[in-house]
Amino acid sequence: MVGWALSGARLFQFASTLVLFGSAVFSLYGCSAATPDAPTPERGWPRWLLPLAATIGIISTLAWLSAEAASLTGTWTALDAVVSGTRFGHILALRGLLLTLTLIVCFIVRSAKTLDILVSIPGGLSVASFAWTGHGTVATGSGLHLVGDVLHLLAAGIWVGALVPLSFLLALSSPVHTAAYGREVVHGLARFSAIGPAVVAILTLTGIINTWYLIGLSRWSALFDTTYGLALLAKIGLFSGMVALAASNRWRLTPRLQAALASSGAIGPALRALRASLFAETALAFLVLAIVAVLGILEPPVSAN
Amino acid sequence: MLTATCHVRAIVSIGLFVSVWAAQAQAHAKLVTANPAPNATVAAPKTIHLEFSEELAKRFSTFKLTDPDGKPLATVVVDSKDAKAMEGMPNATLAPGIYTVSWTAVSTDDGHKTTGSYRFTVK
Repeated sequence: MVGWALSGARLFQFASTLVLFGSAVFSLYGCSAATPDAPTPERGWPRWLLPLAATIGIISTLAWLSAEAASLTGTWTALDAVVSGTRFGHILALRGLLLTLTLIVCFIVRSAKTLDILVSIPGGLSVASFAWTGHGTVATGSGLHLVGDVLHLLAAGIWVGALVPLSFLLALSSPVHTAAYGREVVHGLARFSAIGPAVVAILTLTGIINTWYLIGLSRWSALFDTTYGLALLAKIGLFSGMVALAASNRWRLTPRLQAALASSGAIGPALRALRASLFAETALAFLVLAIVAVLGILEPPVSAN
Repeated sequence: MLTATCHVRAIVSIGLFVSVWAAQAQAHAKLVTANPAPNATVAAPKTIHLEFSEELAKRFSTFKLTDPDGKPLATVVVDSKDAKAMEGMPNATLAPGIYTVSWTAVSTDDGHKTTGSYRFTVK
């Protein structure tokens, strides 16, 4: 029960902070400010996504602390004991504070661009702070591992945080499928594609570093005969699926939409194909996060006797 | 070219900053050494000292000592200066027999709880 509560709280906390950071950043680089008849007045995707993510982040922080309290003291309400009694609790409280500040900023700041900048900073710090509440530097105390972890988290945030607003944009129903809407979609996808290879490279490289530290070369067989190893393999499999879908978006589906726009033909079929692909990629991303949430409470092979 | 150098510098500085913070390790706390040692036969010990692989959240980390009949014995917890250790003194001199130490250790960095137990013999 406590284990499931811990994993659930972790999943919601990962998802909400990654979306908070990544979506704010995506809106800075991926949305064209000058799309006169964009599908919705505020640059194509709902602005309530940021306050919603911050709110889920705050609730999941409290839930995580509560589950941790249940695990350590047997009482679900002893949040203060966890916050004051463990370094883990300090970090979690700090993250909760950052998310609360972000939520307040969401209601105060009117300018979309200023808000995106203001949200991306505490959002990024919240995402990076996971390196200190997970298996950050298991048994090694290595700085390289921690740097790898922070970069891995931020890159994951950039990816997931772009997928969610893009999915929202593509989820809009057909009456708005004008050429201007099509151009907004192409613009967002093109901008995301431009940084996509860097994101995949960072995730792969830092993923290898993390695996090295948490499993170790001498215990490579643990990949196949421990729960931790199998969960990690499943994560890598899903990640590969995401990369394949992203590649197909970039080299097949986006060019198809561009061609339809250029020839002033119907953009509906190309949009529907992109939508299916993007939804699938987003679903895979959340499955990856679910696995990460479980990995965090499993014991990595490196610390097993 | 200039901006590329700036980027490299920025990344290196961030890296250094994070590495300095990384002084602590994080994992599931494991018993590293104990005095009396597991399965050892010793003269009645004055203190029980347990050392772990990780820094402990002292508030949640404890151990219990049970006598040869399985009855828990009162121990006075001593605040060990070592962040990775816990220590306690039995209230009375231990009579000859087999004793069990059952510990619960919580790593302060990730809040993970680990438990374990071992025996030692007083001659």
